[in-house]
Amino acid sequence: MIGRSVRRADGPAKVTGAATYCLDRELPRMLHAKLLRSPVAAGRIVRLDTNRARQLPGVRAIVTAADAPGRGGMFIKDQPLLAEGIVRYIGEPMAAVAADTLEAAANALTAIDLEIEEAPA
Amino acid sequence: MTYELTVNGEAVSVEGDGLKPLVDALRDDLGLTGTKTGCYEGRCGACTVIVNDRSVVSCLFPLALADGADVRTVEGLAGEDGTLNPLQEAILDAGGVQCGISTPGVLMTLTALLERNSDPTEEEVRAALAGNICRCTGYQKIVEAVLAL
Repeated sequence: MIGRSVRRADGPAKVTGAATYCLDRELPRMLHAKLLRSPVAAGRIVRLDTNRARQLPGVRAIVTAADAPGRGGMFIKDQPLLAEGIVRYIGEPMAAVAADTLEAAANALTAIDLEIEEAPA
Repeated sequence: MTYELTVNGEAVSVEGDGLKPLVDALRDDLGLTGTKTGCYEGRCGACTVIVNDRSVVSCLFPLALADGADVRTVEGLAGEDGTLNPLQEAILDAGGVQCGISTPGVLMTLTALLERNSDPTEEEVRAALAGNICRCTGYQKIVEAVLAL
């Protein structure tokens, strides 16, 4: 095999659409998740209030950094799971919603009260 | 409402709202999960299918518009017995598949291209792929695959 061009084992499944990814699977009573992501590149989180969102139908849980303390990361454990205190990049996850449907989860995001005091990026 | 369409040569009926995205009808109602969703706003191309010989982003294609249409998805590329078609073989030989999530959309875009233009230049291939985001391959091997056909 070494020195020869070899096709990847999962190739045929991928080019025929047979390969299943997580988004292709449906399990009974499964929940759907959506992440609230920072709209700005840098800033201090002034308000992140999930109470309104929690009340929406179909919403089962919403978590923020308060629920997931600590740091993770590759080699150097310096990255919070969910933004804590400040945001460092556009798209940084700030909260996670679990709901009965994807639509309910997406709706819940819009009901999270978010205020960020932007800082120069 | 019930819509009648042909998918990969087979006549099917799909129930739903006329505005339901075709991608949802294919994946959820027909169980054809080969077509992927990415952005749901027509920008990533993962949902690309062929409708009446034209490649379209099925996330923005209303089911009502597919009524009476001929739809082709990645599941319809290989032969009945599973034999891969030349494009599928070429992309595998060239190493143009990595995680594979963009692959179905890429293959449908390329299929539509090759039906319009059987001998595209590199520039034409790259231009055709402008609507398919592929984070893994950097497109090089995909382009090589098409040029090798």
